[in-house]
Amino acid sequence: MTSVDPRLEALFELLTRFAAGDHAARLPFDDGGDTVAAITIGLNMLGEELEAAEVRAQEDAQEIRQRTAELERSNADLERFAAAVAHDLRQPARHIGMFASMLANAYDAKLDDRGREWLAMLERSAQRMHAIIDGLLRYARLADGGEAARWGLAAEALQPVAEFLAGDIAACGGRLIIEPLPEAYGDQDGLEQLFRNLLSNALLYRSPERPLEIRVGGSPASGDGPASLYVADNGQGVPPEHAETVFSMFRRLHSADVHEGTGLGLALARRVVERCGGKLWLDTEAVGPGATFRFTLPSSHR
Amino acid sequence: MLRDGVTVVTMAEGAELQREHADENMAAMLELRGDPKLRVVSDIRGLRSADKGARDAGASDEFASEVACMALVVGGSVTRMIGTFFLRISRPKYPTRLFTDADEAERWARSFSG
Repeated sequence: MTSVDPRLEALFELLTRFAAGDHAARLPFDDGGDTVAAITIGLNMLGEELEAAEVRAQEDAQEIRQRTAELERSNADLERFAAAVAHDLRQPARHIGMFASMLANAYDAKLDDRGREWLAMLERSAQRMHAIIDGLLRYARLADGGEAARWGLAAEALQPVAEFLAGDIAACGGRLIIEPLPEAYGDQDGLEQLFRNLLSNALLYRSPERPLEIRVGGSPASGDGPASLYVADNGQGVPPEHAETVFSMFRRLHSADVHEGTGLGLALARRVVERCGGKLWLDTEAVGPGATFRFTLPSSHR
Repeated sequence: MLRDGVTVVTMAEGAELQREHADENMAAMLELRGDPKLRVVSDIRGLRSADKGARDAGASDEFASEVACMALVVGGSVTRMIGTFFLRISRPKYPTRLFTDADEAERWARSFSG
């Protein structure tokens, strides 16, 4: 077997160490002045560049970790603030609605049409304020994770919601199609909230051009993975560029004058799923009009 | 050395260029110059190595603010490797060319109007 030039062997060894991630490896100066010497110095310089790039990557990763931690702290502070504000606003909001109602009842005969209209607006605004405050408080409770979760099947959480909304769906000429759901588990109260938000949104944002159709279905887990579920409607849909922003708190695609809603529904829905260990997203590649929300849930009971 | 408006720097035989040397060279060149920006011929035929600090200094914004162009005179494989690495990897922000002939390098630098 022919022997290899020891200088070439040294080069091979250096290349192997670089490939293994040892970018600090170097060869001693080669004063041969020939091609091998040139390659030696070239590889040493390459090692310096790789080492510097590795340090930069570690520094970048550290910076990202720090910024992520800061963002998480900031989000947590905001959520606590929202919860505190919502808690303090609850009673005044309730009083406004209560006294508006009492005024309407006690002084209806003495009011003209404009007065009655204003009182009705006041009652509606108080109800809306109450709904937003309730939504904020529910979101904050989910964020805290303080309440003990009552785990059960997603299909069982869907049933009461479907029954509750059956009348509204039928009244607008729509239909709700529930396909067999896979074995998927989550916090029952949270999942009821999730289905209520998704189905209510489908009802709220239905298209005037066609009868509403809502489908709920899913597929079982493969291997150790989660089960997949979806709620799809044929309504107005969500533009793809808003696929993420719709899940932000108080982010609405339409003003409250066009469509009622607190702007918290999808943020709550996502928080529920994440708390169960899953993910919720808008399927931007779904075929046909409307919106398809997909989410994953654990396929086994905790 | 300043020759017809061109600053000529010759590396000593066996020199191992490091960051502080690059800074010293720049300081010396600035003392010599007459033009607003330096036109440099750097003869590195005697160079044995140039570490990352020296290469980064040569490619820095600070150097670029003082240098209009740089002609690198290279010789054998080793200095050709060093010159090519500086040109292609360090990427100085001023016009840089490799030459094997010192006179041709000076003519290029002298004619360089930036």
